[in-house]
Amino acid sequence: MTDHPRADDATLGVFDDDRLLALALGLDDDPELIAAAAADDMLRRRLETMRGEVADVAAQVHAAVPAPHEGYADLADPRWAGLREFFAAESPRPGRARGRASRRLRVLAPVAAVIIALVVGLTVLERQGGGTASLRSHQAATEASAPAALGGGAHGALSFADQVDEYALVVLARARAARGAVQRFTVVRVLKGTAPAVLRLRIADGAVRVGGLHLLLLRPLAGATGAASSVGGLSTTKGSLDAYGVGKPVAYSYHGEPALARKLPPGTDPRTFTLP
Amino acid sequence: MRREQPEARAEFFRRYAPQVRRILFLQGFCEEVDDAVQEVFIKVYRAQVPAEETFLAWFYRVILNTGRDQGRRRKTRQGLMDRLHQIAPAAAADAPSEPADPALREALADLSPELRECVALRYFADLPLEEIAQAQDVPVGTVKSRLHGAVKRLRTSLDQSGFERHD
Repeated sequence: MTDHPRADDATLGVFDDDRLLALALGLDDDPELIAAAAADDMLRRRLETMRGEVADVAAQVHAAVPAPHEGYADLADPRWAGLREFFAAESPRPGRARGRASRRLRVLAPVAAVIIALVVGLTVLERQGGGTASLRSHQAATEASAPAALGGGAHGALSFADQVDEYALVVLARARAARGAVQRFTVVRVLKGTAPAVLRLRIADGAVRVGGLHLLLLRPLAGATGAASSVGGLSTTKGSLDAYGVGKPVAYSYHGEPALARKLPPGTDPRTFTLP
Repeated sequence: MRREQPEARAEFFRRYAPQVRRILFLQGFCEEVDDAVQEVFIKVYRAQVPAEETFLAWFYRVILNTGRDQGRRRKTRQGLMDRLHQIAPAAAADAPSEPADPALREALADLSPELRECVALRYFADLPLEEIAQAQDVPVGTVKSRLHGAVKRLRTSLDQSGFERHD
């Protein structure tokens, strides 16, 4: 590569390759070298050769790590699923979301009160020996129209809401490949608490499938007596969440504390997913 | 980056994701580089730019820190060498006519992480010395020294491998 024009020893001593390289790289202005090169043909050719070699290095570095293909940054690509929440056309501010939730609550609260009153009334009727058939039909209708009430009594397990209440950190996250005893999850949305962009969970049961959207329940709160009390205890909640279509609980540990992953049904939109 | 500007965020991603990928790649990523790219942008979209910093200086620091965090866990010289050899130039947008000289790949892998960061910011992000210094959180003189040392070694590797220049 280097076939430098020969120069006399004095010139080489003052203007060595390091100095030429600094100028060629734009690290120093070096007016002395520029002036000398203008007056010395041999030095000028050495400088040109050095500039050519610096350009070769640049081209080779670019060849070593070429730019990705043109469609690389296409946001529709599944590889960027973890970023979609940031590009949603509607990104409601927390204040607005709270406002909407508050309005919904104002509308739904009277309806819920009527339903509760009906249930209580029917229960009283049943205890008094009458209306058994109508109670059953009412219960069936309630279950069909209010899936959010699921879990409340299933096999005595905790409700979804109760279970969530036992954790300080609840997120939606996509599973990444497991490495050794650790599996990482890219956080797509934080539902409760504060989370880093990537969570590293220590595998207890086994790794979940890569790419799947999961509800992660992390950092059990002190004094929690149900689902969060131990990894083993998590299995007792299995029945309560099945009705949501989520997968079976998979136990992990996070910073030494029990944690739980539950796969959400395919097609779940993390932007619109809400805790019951 | 403002939360209520999804299109601005998308445009920023489209513009910078390719160079973020190259910078992280030279920090030692290969098969997980896209995860790391995504992690960078998640951090950027969620965080607040420190008041005393310009956005881009902070952005490049986030990239370097992401690469450093990952690199600490699994960086080996052989690993980077393998990754550099796995690159398929034909799949690239600016596919070079010839793959990089093997000696240069080895020399790149042999550079210290700081020197490789410097090379990446110079050649993939085209940053001026002052901005490289901000991103690496070192004086400009240190950047000059690093860049000089890195290019000198890369040039020597090409020289010793008998690389022929195409004028």
